[in-house]
Amino acid sequence: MRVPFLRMKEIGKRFPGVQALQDVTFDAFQGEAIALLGANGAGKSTLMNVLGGIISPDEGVIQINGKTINIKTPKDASEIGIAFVHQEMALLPTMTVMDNMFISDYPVSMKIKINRAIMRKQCSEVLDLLGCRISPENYIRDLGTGDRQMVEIGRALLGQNKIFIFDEPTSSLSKREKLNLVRVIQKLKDEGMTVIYITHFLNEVYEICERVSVLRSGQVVGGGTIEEVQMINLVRLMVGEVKIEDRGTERITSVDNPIMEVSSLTRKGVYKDINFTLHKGEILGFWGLLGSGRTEVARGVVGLDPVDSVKMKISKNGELQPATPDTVRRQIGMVTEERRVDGLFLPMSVKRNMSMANLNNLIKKNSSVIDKSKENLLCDEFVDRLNIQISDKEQIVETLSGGNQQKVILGRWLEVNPSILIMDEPTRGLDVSAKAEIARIIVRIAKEGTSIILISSEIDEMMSLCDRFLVFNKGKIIADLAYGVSEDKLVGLAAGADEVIQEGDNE
Amino acid sequence: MKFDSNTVKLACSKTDSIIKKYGEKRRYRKIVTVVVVILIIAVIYIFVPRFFNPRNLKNILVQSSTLGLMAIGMTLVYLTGGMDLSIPSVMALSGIIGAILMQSGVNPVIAAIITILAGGAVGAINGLSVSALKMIPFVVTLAMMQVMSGVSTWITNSVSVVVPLSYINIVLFKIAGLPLPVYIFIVITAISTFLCKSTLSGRWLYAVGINMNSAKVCKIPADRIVFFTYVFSGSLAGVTGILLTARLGAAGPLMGSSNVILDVMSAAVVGGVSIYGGVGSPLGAALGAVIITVLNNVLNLLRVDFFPAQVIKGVLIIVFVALDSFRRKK
Ligand SMILES: Nc1ncnc2c1ncn2[C@@H]1O[C@H](COP(=O)(O)OP(=O)(O)OP(=O)(O)O)[C@@H](O)[C@H]1O
Ligand SMILES: [Mg+2]
Repeated sequence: MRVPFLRMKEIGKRFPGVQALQDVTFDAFQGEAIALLGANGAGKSTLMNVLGGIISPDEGVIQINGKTINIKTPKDASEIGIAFVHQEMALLPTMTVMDNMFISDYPVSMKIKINRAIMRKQCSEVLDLLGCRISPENYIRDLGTGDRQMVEIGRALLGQNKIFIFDEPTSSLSKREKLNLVRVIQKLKDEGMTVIYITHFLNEVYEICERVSVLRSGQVVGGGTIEEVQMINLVRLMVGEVKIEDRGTERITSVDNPIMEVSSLTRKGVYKDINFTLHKGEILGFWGLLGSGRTEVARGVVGLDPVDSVKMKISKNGELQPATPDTVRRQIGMVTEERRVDGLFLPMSVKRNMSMANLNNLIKKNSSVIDKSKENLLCDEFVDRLNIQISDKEQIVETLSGGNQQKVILGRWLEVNPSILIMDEPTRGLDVSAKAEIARIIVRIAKEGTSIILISSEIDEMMSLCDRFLVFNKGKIIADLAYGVSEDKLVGLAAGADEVIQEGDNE
Repeated sequence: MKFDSNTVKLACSKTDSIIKKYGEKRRYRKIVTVVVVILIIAVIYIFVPRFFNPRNLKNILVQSSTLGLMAIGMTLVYLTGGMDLSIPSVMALSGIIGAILMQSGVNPVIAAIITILAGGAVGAINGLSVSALKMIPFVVTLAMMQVMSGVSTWITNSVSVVVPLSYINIVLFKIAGLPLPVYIFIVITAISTFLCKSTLSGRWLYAVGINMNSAKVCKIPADRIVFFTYVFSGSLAGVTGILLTARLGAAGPLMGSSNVILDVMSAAVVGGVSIYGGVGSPLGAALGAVIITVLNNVLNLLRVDFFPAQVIKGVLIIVFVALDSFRRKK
């Protein structure tokens, strides 16, 4: 048998209340990509954090070419040539793209002066390689989530690295960017690099990886070459049986029950003259590429970002009445795109995060004292229903796995059960079975009368859930299509028009 | 495959024992704190036996109550991620206003009420600047501190305003040997701790301090909460003004001198309140106030000069802030 280039041997790691890794042995070879798979909370990120020097394991060693090495800090890891694209992004919003890319290792000339020309050059080379259209001088705060993710990836590509860890890199990328990433990974493999790839999208595994390794509850439960394992087996290994719900073709077509009307919504330079109506019990899809305005419009509607002009009406006691984004927010639930930026309260407990939007309903009669038993009860109910992996309700949300953090946000809004729910990438970071469960829940609450605005980059999810699609492009709604429209048409509308803009953009 | 029901059961029982251990670790930390406190008391007992004189202890309680009330006000502001540097100067000015009113014949009770309202009004100005005008708390309250001490000095010509004996007698009225301020301190500590820990507004307070963006998404009236904390700290400054004026027998601009703010901040920080927001409780700040007062008292009994005492206190605060940020990192 070949000696693996990288071997993590018998790794064990225990956190308070959970054995995150137990006796995990993980091999990776040069010139190949290995997929690291597993359900939410299986221990994938923890294993990679061990490799990246972010946490130190309780047991086990790391070997490269059969030689045991010591990785104690992230700096050790990067000196060995390990590049890590983290699941949770950590960019400095007030600095530029190139500053962020070089932050840990600025090129300097004459020992003192930061050489910005070199930075700019290397940075644009990497961005070109990734097919990313942003400039090195852009500020991170002005970028959308997808572009930020590309910056994170770009950072890993700088310098002389041998091992590349991608922890769910595609969870906020659209199709075009995914393709670029696949191309880049292929190039890395051709150059003899080692790629470790974590994802919940199995099709990506088949596209990118040669081998897989599956974790379950912190233990290796299977693996092998891609030919040896079949998709169905993989799913069973990771999460057990999954019941995928197909909504079939049953859709809402009645348009006589408007619950919210938005007209001439404009924010200069972002979107212009947006008009749409949301009906009771409808699942309305906002479809478009990253940066097309779909997220921005949703945020504008609920007053999370300022808008320049808007006319809104929202249903109160069965009648449409004038409203403003700020009043609308009080009646709407919003699962935001970036859970850590404007979703979670990271240092707070799971319980408090879950009940935060629902406190008004959790107070004792005629007082403002919180009814703790009611709070506990509801928390338990949704932890159970969403199968959130925690050691205890008081666990700090920051220490949950990425997917489980997302579930906490979903639980929060299901607990409130608002009449309108906006969900921006609600299944980001969720494993296959959790995705299926969320889809089931979305369909059910819509049936019960909740109106939903759904934003997702996953066309399958959109096709199987939405009653109607608004297609966004460059800050405009370019089509309003009922269920029944073909996938090709949706993709074409979003992407095709994108090409036109690309040509127009060539200054 | 090594995955059967037995391993699951094993894993579950393991998890249970780990959780228990974790709980023990927390208890262990509490024990450590208690041990440290006992040690400190022992040291004081050996080196400054006069400290345990009942009159001195009573004195400490009375002094803690004024410092503690201000620290509680500061704590609520800290919890939302803000700060209020104007507390002592507002305290002084509202005390002066009360005293002047009484000198011109206003009923002491009415004067006291006006004193509190005056403090609250200044707090409201701070609150509006921060919440509605989005100004930086540090800058706003620093400027307010300047304005307040300026006005205090100006309207009193740096001369203390004496208050009538009847007023002093009401405010320092003794129950079971302890004067009213101590009870006020205990009651306000209890109420504000309850407010923070168990009520809607309390939960919101912490949420706003931890993540303003998330708070907005969760429909929390963040601006209102922030505004309220400044009004609260201003009003408590007013209350403190009443108590301190009675204790000193007069109100003057020196009551709010700038080293008082240092004590207020230290009390909060030593009491486990984070200056980054979202962590701590009024009870902690109240205990912190007792600790700072004890420290002042001991340094005083040991006849440590003012300046070395400042150094010792300053170092102590740095240590606590360092501990705080270390704890946050963990
Ligand atoms: N600092 C920590 N303290 C306590 N528990 C932790 C900590 N970090 C991770 N865990 C726990 O370890 C387990 C594994 O988490 P990990 O992040 O590795 O999962 P994952 O496989 O990456 O899942 P996901 O697909 O959701 O990202 C989880 O149960 C998590 O709660
Ligand atoms: Mg993870």
